[in-house]
Amino acid sequence: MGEPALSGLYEVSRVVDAAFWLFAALAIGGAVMVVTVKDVFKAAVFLAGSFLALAAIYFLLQAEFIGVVQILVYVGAVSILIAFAVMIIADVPGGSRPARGRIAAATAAALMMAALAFTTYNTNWTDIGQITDEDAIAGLVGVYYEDTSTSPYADAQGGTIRAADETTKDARSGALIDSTGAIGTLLIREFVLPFEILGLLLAAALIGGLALMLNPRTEDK
Amino acid sequence: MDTFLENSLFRNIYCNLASASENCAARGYGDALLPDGLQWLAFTLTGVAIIGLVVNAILMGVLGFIWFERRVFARFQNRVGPNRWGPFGLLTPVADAIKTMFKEDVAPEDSDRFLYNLAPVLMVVPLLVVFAVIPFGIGTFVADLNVGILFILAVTTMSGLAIVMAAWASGNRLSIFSGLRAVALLISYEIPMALSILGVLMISGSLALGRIVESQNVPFILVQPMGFLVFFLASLAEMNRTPFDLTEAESELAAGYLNDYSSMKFGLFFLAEFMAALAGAAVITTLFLSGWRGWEPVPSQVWFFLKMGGVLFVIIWIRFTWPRLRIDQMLAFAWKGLFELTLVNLTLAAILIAVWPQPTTTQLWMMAAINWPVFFASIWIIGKVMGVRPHQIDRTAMGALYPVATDEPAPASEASEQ
Amino acid sequence: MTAHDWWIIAPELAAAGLAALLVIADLALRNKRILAELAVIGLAAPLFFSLNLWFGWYGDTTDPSALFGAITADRFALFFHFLLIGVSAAVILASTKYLERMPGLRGEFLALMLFSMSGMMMLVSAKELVAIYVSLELTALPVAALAAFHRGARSVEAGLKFLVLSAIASALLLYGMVYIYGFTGSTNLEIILQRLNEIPSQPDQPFGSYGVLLGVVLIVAGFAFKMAVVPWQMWVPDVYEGSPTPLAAFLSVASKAAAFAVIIRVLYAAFGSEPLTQDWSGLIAALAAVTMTVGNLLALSQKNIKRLLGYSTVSQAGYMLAGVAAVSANSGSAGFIAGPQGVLYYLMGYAFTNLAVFLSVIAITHRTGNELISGLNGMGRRSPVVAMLLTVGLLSLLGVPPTVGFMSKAFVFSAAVNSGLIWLAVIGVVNTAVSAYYYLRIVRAMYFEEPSSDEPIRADLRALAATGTAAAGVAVFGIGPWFLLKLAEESLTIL
Repeated sequence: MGEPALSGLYEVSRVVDAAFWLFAALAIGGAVMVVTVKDVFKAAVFLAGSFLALAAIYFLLQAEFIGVVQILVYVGAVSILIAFAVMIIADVPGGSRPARGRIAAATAAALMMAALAFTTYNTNWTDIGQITDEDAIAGLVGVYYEDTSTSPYADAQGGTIRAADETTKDARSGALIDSTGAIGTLLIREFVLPFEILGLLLAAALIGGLALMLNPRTEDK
Repeated sequence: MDTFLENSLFRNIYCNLASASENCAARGYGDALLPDGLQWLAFTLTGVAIIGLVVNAILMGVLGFIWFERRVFARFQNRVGPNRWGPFGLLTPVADAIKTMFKEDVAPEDSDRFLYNLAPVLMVVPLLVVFAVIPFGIGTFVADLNVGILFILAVTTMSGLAIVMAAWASGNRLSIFSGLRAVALLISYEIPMALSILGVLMISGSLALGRIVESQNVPFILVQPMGFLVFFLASLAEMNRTPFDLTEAESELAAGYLNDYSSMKFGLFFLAEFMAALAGAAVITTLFLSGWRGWEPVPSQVWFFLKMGGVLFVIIWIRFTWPRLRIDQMLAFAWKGLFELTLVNLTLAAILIAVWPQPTTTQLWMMAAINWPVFFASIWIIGKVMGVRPHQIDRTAMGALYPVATDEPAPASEASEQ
Repeated sequence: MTAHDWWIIAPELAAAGLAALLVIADLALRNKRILAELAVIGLAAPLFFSLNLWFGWYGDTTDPSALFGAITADRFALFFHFLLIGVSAAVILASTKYLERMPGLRGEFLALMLFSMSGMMMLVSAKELVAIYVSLELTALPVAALAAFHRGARSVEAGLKFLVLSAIASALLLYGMVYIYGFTGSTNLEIILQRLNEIPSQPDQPFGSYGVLLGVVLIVAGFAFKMAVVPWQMWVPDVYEGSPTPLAAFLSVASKAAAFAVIIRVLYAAFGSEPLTQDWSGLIAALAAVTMTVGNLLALSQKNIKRLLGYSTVSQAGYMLAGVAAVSANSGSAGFIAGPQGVLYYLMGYAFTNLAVFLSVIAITHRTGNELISGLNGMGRRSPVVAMLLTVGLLSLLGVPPTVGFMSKAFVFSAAVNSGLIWLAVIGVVNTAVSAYYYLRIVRAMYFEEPSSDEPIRADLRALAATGTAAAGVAVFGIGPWFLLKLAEESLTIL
């Protein structure tokens, strides 16, 4: 958030802070319950709760689009499908028995956590070149073709490039960024290739799932 | 803060609570209730007050809708309907609510108490949240999120989780069947539902519901007939209304996931069902019936509720004239029928938007003129491909089981047996 | 999208289109036997588009990068396109007999394999971290489905193991990418390189900054899964054993080649600035030493031929990593690319070698149904041609002159010595000696053990052709390595 907006937001900031800690606690607590609770169905429900708390944190960060997609995909689809799968397995209430390598797994997770935390605190993030918060979107949108008129897309997609420039300008002036529009613009520009590959990935997953379902059991012998 | 204060409802409550902060003073507010330094409390209280206001308004709306539905239902069946409590029986839902509250709260012994109690709450809350983003009239909304319509889609999917939870926690077989059906239905119909609004979004160029309403110089039901049909049917499925009410199909599953609920927990589910219909009607009105737009001097809010009432009437109409279908028929309908229709719609909308990027009113009418013939043609083709034919009654097979009344005289052999 | 973009992504598009076409053809065609042939013929399309980009017949190919720098069709990528297409064609040819056992699902099997191949092609040409991540998923997901294709207990175990472990590896990879993105503010490899040069490094922190250190370590860990490098080696024998054998061949060659391509590209293109290369070189060298040793030691006691070959591919990955680690101190000199050049040559040779081995194993085990090493007893008499091809492959894996295996090991180890990693070369040579035990054990079983029956085994002609080509490649490129070396050197112009 830019400086001018901050003074006006002071009145809200304490509420937002409290909300952040609340949702962070919910997300972590939910995740801990997922791995410790015995009932598999409950674990699925706690997972949904954890996802929901994460979505709330996205909202607090003013990334509404990502927050909404988080709910739509993870709470609305993934959790429900997990619950669906859980209903079909045999012993749900006692299903999740303590795994043999519990201590090793906990140690590995703790080490990973420690490494991430240590790195995050000890890396000199502020020194990162000339990249400031305001340039965050600009860094994604405008860097590769700094002079858009020389880009091969200048003629073909003039409209898109204009839109991207406006986003950049908004970001620089500290105004509220329309994150949805920025994401949309990026998806059809810089990240069009990953976006298209995702389509292929989904098609492959669909075919793979169907093939597994349709195939009669045949041992590889 | 400024964005919050632009909302008149928020501004009135907040600025009367908080001390004359610069934001409010600039807008001409004077003395306040709370001392300086407690702005955060005022902020929170304002939020709570608005939530309370909206929730109560919705609950009143639900009561009204229940009465409306029962009266209309009675008309369809040539009855009078509830008419004892209050004028025209208007207070009947209130009496129902009081009755439900005073019933004994019985829970099955084997039920998973945590999930069992959580499910009804999780069922109601998302539906209440939906109303937060709907613009009921000019400037009459709680929040105009810039991802409004996606927010509604996302939040309503959570009711699926609630159904599955309720079904599972009750711990009886019929409930679990209903839960499995609910998942299959919800997941299947979510896809055409989400795809069907893409045409609307492309034309209006925004995900915010306010902008979508403003861009409807021509109601999108005319511009996007395919989108409307698919969205309407899919939202019927999402709100578990007939002919898609397989999750609580009384004839097969007793009451499905509701089997083991009683008292106010049942009441919450009951409430959620009617609230879902209200929410669905509100969303359809906003997306396809040009929301609060209408003609002066009738206020915009009235226009909105009139249109919403019309949609509700159609929903009730469908409920009492259509039979319930089988689960495989429902899934086939979603995947083989609606899905294809949305794809046709999407392609056509993309082409039209490429031709007219920011359509004027005339261009919107031209879009409508192109869309309708394609609409009928694709319905006809999909019908052919799906193999939907008029139902043929196999009279010989049926005759073996039941005596079928025909105009022809009964065969001699049968007559002699009798 | 401009016309230029279309030409650049044409090979990948053609591969994905072919996969989709096969699904449709499976529905439409009555004679499903020709699907495999159709797939092999169809592979000519991506091959043609790749060749076009290499020679510049049509379209403007002077600027190889397209789609906002997310993808490139430089020689390096095209080199791997040729490799991947060749391997896929050979595997599909060899699996025609195999496919007859699943009459209803030929199209799906081939389509999934080709989807995975198109993912690999995108992986080797992607120049941007998000695209790399997504194409990595596209390579992995169809493989997980294929591994569980038979739905028996072992197949499901194989599929599940692959799926879960690849998910963990993806998570690590993403964590690494996030740190790199957070540190440099870009996901484009070129911009990352540029920013890393601009940002002042902290002298007291390894890799110039802890953020970069963790980022590189996690990215390498993520790719290590696909390369089957040591902490991730445990999936290899189980997946090879449980999955259809053609898939194991595909995995051991194509998947590994793509993973090596992408790790070379990421390390050299994004982290190729001067002090950083020495930092990660040590990391990779340690990984290489551990991998080759562990792979060899575990292979010694294996009785199942597919499990043995699984561990053998682990140790081979270790040798190749030695080449990746061999970065000479002065970039821009001829010695700078010696390591990667060795790896490219090694990968090409390894493709021929491992295909020869796997395809002959398919040809034999398909008939006998016995996957133990003792099942190969007396194959020298029962099926002299296949046994000979298998022997050639095994000798090349071991690294006996004049096979291609010998030449590639020689190149990689000498590159390691030149860049000061003498200890690594020594470990490599010792490991080669150890590996002689288990490779020669198979050869001994085939020629010096009594067979359980004397019934001759005739292999399918198409499979034999593929195997023969691979084995011929082993011999030809071992005796005359110049063509492949030239190709590898030309491909490395980007570095």
